[in-house]
Formats: sequence, structure tokens, C-alpha cells
Amino acid sequence: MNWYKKLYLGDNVKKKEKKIIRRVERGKPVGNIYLITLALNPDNLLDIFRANLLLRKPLAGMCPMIVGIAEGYQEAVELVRRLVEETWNSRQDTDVRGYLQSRLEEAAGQTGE
Amino acid sequence: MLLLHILLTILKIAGILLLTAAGLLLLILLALLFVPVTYTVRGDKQRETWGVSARVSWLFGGISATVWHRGQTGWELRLLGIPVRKLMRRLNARKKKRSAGKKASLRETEKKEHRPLQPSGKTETVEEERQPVLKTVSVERESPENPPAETEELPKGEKTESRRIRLAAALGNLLRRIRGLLLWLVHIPAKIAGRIRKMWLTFRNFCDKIRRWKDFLTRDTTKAAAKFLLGRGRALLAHILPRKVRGKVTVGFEDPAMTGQLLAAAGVFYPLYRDNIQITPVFNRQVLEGDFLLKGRIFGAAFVWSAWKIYRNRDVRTTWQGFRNKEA
Repeated sequence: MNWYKKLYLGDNVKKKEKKIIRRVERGKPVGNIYLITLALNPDNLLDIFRANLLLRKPLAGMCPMIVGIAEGYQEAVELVRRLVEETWNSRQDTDVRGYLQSRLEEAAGQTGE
Repeated sequence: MLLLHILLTILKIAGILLLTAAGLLLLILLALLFVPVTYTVRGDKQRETWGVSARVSWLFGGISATVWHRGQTGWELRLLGIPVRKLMRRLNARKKKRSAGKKASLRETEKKEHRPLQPSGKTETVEEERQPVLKTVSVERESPENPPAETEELPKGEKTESRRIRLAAALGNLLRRIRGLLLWLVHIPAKIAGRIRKMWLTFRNFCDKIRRWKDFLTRDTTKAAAKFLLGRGRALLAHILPRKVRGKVTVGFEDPAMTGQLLAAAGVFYPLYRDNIQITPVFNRQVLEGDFLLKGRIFGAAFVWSAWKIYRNRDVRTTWQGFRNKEA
């Protein structure tokens, strides 16, 4: 599975991030956890779905990059709102993929320096 | 002739009475067997309020009991349509009225006759004088007339003698203890062997019991009896389950995917409920509202018939006898 290096985390998930990632990687159930990923359909921005869907191996095999983790659907929607808002504030558009890529490049540039 | 006529008349009356009693008993028996017990369960939920009620009736509503919960729990029992609690309350109220009326009339008669009621009591008081009983206890100390003489020193010969006696006693004690210890040590292996044998016997008995139960349960007759009992149980369950199920539910989760999954599951069971249960999904908010109705009936004859079939089944009888004779 492909995890974004600077994951967006909901308030209820900040302390359990590593545990959740470990369980999802190992194909174990994780309760009421939602994942935010880049949309499979290139015309869409993001997808929200329950982490337990990845218990099915075919779906886990085709899972796009995971950019956020939230507990509960409302929190997931809030994270998406935050992400799109950040993208808009930064680039004045809604190209979330480009924004996330630029964030990674910035972080890599900083560590390089 | 007249006597005969009287006797025959008496017999006729007795016969009629017997027949009436037999007829009534038969009627009651038939009613118990063939008049069904019907039950109805209703429930509804709207936003925050919800309520559920259950009604069981027999003799076509002649005897009915209803239990409900809507904020608070309540129950009602009716006999031929008359609520029993109301009836009891009225009877109690009448009783109280009567007793209050009686008391009032008693007081009036007393007032008229100027006879104050006083409890008959003793006017004389008996004073009991209690005199302390003194017991004098005299304690005498017996002063020894002959104080104990001081220990005199024993002569030397007697000293050594007493020392030898003491030594011999101590030695004897020690030897006895050593003997006891040696005996104990010698018996240890026997004790261990005994314990091991006991444990082994317990274990073997346990294994034997398991083997006997296994033989008993894997017998053909036992399997046939179990299959038969399961079949009868299923038939009874099908008889008891509600005949009519109606419901309307509006359901939605905060995650529309969950709502979709619920609808998918409900779709799998559609052939069971068809249009009797209407599900209205809501995809943009969390909601659960609706109402349902369950109705069914139970005949006493169904249980009697099942009991009779079970009793008549050879395999069940054989299995039961085997169980009672502790074959397992």
C-alpha cells in the first residue's frame, strides 16, 4: 500500500496513527476508521471509504495513495474539506494531486538543505 | 312401582348432570387445544420517541393481556373486554366505602348513647419493691502453714544418677524420632505409587466415560432420534413464528456507503419479506424511523401433536431409555 509521507490525520486518530497503519498493512480490521485516498477516477479529487474494505485483497491491491486517516465519516469529510481548503489557499485551484506533490517536494528540499 | 319411578328419575338427573359436566370438560379441553392464542406486536419510532406494545389473547379476545412501553411501561389484563385492574379498583373502593360507612354509623350510635369507649385497664398499680440481694462472698486466703522448704542440695551420687536418667530419656527420644523418620522415608515410594495409581484410575474413568458418551451419541438410534427431534423443533418454530409481518422503515447512515451496503443486504432477503417491509433509504443524514407489526397464532394442539409424535417415535424412546439406564 502506498502511504502519503505527510498524512492528514483526524483529531481522534493522531495518537493511533502507527497502530492503524500497521493493522491496515497486515490486513486486520480496524473499527470505525476511514481512509482518504486520491480518487481512482482521474476526474475526481479524493475518495473516502472504510479501512475495512481493504481486508479484501483485490481492493487492497488496487488501492491508490492514501493521504489521510480519520475516525468516523464526519471526521473524514472534515479532513477532505481541510485539504481542499489548503489547496485552494495555496494554489487558487483544486488540483489536490499537484498540491500534495508540491508539499512532498518542499519537504524533500528542506531535508536536503 | 313408584319407588322404581323415583329411582329412575334420580338416575336421569344424575346422568344429565354427569353429561353436562363431561360436556363442559370436553369443551374446555377442545378450547385449549383448538382455540388459538394470538399475539400481536407493534412498534414505532419517530425521531427521539419510540414505543412498543405486545398483546396476547385467547378465546377470540375473551382473555387478553397487553404490555406496552412508551416513555413508561404499563400493562393491562382484560376478561371479556372488562379491564381487570379497573374492576379490582372499583371493588376495593366499594369495600372501603362500606367499612367507612360502618365505622361512621358505629360512632353515631356511641355518641347517642354517651358511652365513651375506654379500654379496660387496671387501676391498681403494683409496686414491686426490688431489694437488692447482697451476696457476701468471703475470700479466704489460705496461708500456708508450712511454707515450702527450700530446695536442699542433693548428694553427689544422686545427682549423677538423675543426670544418667535424663540422658537415657533424651537418647530414647532421639532414637524414637530417628525411627519415625526412617519409617516415613521408607513409606514415601509406596505413597507416591498409591497417588499415581489413583490419578491413573481417575483419568481412565474419565476416558471411559468420554468413550461411553461417544459410543452413545454416535449410535444410529441416537442420531435418528436427534434428527427427528430437530425436525419437530423446526416444525414447531415455523408454527410459532408470526404469520403477518408489516413494516415501514426510513434508514440512513452518515456514510452513504454504509446505507448502500445495508440496502444490498436487505436486497438479499427480499424474497422473504417482499413488499411487506418497505425500506426508504436516506443518503445524506443519519436517521432511523418507522413502524412494524407482527401477528401470529399458536394452537395448543400443535404442541400436543408434537409431544405425541415424539412419544411414539421408537428411536427417541430407545435413546431415552438408554440415557436413563446410564448407558452413557
